[in-house]
Amino acid sequence: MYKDKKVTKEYKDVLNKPIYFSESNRITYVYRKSISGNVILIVCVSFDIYIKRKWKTVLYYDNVHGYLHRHDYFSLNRKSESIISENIKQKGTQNSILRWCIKDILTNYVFYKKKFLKNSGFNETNILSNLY
Amino acid sequence: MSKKQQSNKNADMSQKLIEYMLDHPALDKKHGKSSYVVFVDGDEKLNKMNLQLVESVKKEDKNVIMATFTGVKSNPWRFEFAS
Repeated sequence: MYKDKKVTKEYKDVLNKPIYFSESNRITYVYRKSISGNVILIVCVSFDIYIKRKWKTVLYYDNVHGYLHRHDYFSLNRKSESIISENIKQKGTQNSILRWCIKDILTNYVFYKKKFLKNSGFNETNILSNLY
Repeated sequence: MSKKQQSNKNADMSQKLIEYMLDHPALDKKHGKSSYVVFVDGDEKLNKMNLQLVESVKKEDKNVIMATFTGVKSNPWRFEFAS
């Protein structure tokens, strides 16, 4: 959807390839920066998990509509998503907001993943065996 | 080291890595399209497990960068393409 390092006169999108922190957990972030190098938009900060032989996005942050929000996917079976804007950082520079999103995912990934797997019908044993 | 310990430590170090990459945007150009796995100088248990993680990631992406935290203030991260 977004081309890597798409260059225009005003900005370019920076796509960072995934950082894997286990065999079934990874984080990816895409942001737009001005020619002068400042972060001007958070395009996507996503948390993906490997489950049932596929990578699935559990949630992602963006502020392309003017405010930061999180898209939470409900489960493996339901493609519906909730858009969350409560308890989410709004103030600060785009740079600090981007860092906040990354920190939130890497700090709370177990919580988000448990919720997603539970909604997907996994029992406690299966959740624990798929967490890391 | 358990998978839980590995994952949590990697998550912590990944945050440090991303902070560093955001502070050094020239790395984007240098690394191109690559995936990352973190390592920590001196943490043999973690590094051994993360080498296995690299092999797993290579099945999906041939360009994997091993980002090693050195702890040296002047040059905290070392980057190498996994062979």
